[in-house]
Amino acid sequence: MSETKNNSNGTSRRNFLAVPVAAGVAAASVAAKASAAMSPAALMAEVGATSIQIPKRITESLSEAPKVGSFEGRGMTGAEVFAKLCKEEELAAMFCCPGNYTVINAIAAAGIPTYGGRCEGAMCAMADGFSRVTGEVTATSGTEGPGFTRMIMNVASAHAARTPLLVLASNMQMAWDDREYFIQTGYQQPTTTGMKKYGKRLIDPPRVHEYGAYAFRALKSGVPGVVHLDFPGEVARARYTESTKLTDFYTKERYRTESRAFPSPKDVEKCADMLTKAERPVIVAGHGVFHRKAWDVLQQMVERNEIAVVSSGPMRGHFPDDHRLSAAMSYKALMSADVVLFIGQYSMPSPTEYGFSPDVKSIRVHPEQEDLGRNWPLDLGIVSDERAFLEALDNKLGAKKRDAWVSEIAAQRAGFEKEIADIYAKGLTTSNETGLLHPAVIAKETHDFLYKGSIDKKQTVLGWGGWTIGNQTGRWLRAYRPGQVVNCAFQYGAIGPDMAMTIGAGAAVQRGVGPQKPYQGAPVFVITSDAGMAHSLFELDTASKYKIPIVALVYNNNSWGMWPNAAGSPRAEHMYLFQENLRYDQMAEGLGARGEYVLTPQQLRVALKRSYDIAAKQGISTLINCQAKKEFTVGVRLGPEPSVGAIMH
Amino acid sequence: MPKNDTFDQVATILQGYADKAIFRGYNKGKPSNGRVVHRLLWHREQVFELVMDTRRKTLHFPALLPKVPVKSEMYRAFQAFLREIASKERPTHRQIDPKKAKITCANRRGNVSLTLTVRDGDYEYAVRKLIALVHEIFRIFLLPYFDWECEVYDLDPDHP
Ligand SMILES: Cc1ncc(C[n+]2csc(CCOP(=O)(O)OP(=O)(O)O)c2C)c(N)n1
Ligand SMILES: [Mg+2]
Repeated sequence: MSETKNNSNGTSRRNFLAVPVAAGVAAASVAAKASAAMSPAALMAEVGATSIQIPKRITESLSEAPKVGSFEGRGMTGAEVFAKLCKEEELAAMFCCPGNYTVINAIAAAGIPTYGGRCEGAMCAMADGFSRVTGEVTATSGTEGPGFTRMIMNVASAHAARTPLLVLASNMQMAWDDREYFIQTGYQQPTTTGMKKYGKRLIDPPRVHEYGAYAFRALKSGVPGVVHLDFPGEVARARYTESTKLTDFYTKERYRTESRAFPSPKDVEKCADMLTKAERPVIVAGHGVFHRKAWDVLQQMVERNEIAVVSSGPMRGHFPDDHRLSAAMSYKALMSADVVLFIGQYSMPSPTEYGFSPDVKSIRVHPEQEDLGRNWPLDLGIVSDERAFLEALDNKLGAKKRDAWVSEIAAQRAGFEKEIADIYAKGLTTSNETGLLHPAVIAKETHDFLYKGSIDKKQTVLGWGGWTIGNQTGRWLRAYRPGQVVNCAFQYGAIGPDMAMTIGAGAAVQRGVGPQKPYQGAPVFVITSDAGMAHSLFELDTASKYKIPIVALVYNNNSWGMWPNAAGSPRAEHMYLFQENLRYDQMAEGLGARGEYVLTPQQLRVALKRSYDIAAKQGISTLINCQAKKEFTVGVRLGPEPSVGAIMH
Repeated sequence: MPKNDTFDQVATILQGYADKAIFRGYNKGKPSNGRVVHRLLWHREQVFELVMDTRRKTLHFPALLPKVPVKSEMYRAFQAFLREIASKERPTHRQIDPKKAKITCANRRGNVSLTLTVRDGDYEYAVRKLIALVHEIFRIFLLPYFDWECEVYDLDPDHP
């Protein structure tokens, strides 16, 4: 088709290919001349391949000026029409692997920040991570069949987290449906059933803009979610020189609205009355509070009325952990609450899953009526946009002192701090006895480094996952400002996306998007597991290529931490175990990042400082391989809900 | 209050918890000889029997926690947890007033039972406190005993 002859800047594919071929021939001839006399290292040096490096073409390509498609001249492809719409909708970034070429090239040309990496699943997680720390719509893309099916775990994760994620994939050509030509048409839409808010296989080329509008209407209205579009070649490569050939070609002001559901004054009054009468009220601030950027009004209101807050969702920080009204670490106090208000809680627990009293009165605010009352019976359900509701309630709610409640929260917070300090002390003894790193030690050392040392404690974005290590990290991580922590395993519990997701978050920090603006360029941290590493490790190439500095701590316990499940099944145990003492740090070095291998708390401390300094000053990533052993997985369970470290809801 | 009214009063409270999905299911038993057995589908998808005995003035969970050896750290911790319920250290709204109700537990070959004795005839107070206590046992006391929970309730640890 036309795109194979000429791309949007008029360069033919043949001319484009001619350059590297010529360079390759030159290098080969140098090698041929030298090969007889030179050692392999000298030979490689001669051809310029001694060290890992970012090729000039990447740097140049990244600084190319954008070129949005237009109807002028040769007009726009269907892909360019779609890309233009994405640009107008301010799509924040796209993370992909090659495939779906016409579409990804058009999106890059349109000036949308784009990233290409090594595995579609990991790139999908990156797009999700970018969105989790900014609230922005992001996209991921892969080729039909193989690329698309590789994304699936992370599409499902994004769906569980209600991430506004646009999943794009090519899907052969309609002309070849069922012909088994090559890469047979996959039934993509049925594959994402139950994992999306909206999806469509585009089959009518002139409707490409119309369905782009469908996509962004779903992505930017109400409760966010995944949107999946698959593009057969006929749609992506169709050409348009005038708008009359495209259906419903009008702007976002007409195909969607920024209008939000406002609460009924009666409901606000009733809610204010219930809260005023309460002695120990709590607000569970879910990710709707983050998405609607309602953290300021929330804080202002609860400070005046002394209402405790615990945040929930796939990101943390929309209520600061160090606030005197934060109950994130006071899970035992939650049982005392007499009224609970859920707001922006999209993943809804059941009453036996959350630590509230059986007598608590429940209020829930949600933008969609049909979700109110699901899983958690209500005393008062209110349909409203989260921000609109908090503003209305803020106007209604007077000042109130609740000294006893505030001190109960403080006492339970102190109790929690003692609890984790005791676990750490035992972990430290274990570390000293074994010469290996106990997960509590890793979590506490990282905590001290990020929040108690010379770095601004609000600065560093941290992602976390894994099982044994996650259990400890969850208790020690802190969020002091919106979008500071990524709960990578939120709701879906996937082992694996952590590092990729945090690299995506790192891309947002690098660009200073939304709440990451004050910390633009700072390194990000992830604490993950050896099992998880298998899904993300190659993306250190991607982080290095785009100079997104990440410090990745890998809890290396030589196993899938579920190995105790093999108890009583001696023939099964091998399936849970890896080779011991694997060198993920050396693999990182092979991918252009740094590696550190640590066994003691002292070594870890030094490695943290060294890795951070190099990340901050030179933009270089490090993988810190923390050697442990499987026996440290005893009595592991995730933290109580809701609290710091909760990932289920 | 006549006995039948007391039975109804407690049943109404328990039904109220079922209506709030604290219990996923509730079956009000038939009183006989001053005794009634309520069945509650509750934590860990288990059916809990709650025996109300107006002659003894007790509310009793005969099989609250199975497989807890008498001489285990877990049972000692459980007894300490119950002692703390009455302690002045706890905020008043979380205490069980010893003048109104007394909490005891027993362990028969690893089977832990829990009994609340009503001291002043206030069954509403008693049942609400008891349900809150058992809820707290499952939400808070059992947190460090996940391996025990996995074994006893045959849990898939992926769903903690
Ligand atoms: C992709 C994926 N595979 C399997 C599981 C089931 N699972 C949950 S936790 C776990 C063990 C994970 O091991 P690891 O991440 O290394 O954690 P640790 O060894 O620190 O406990 C497994 C197998 C899962 N949640 N996700
Ligand atoms: Mg492991």
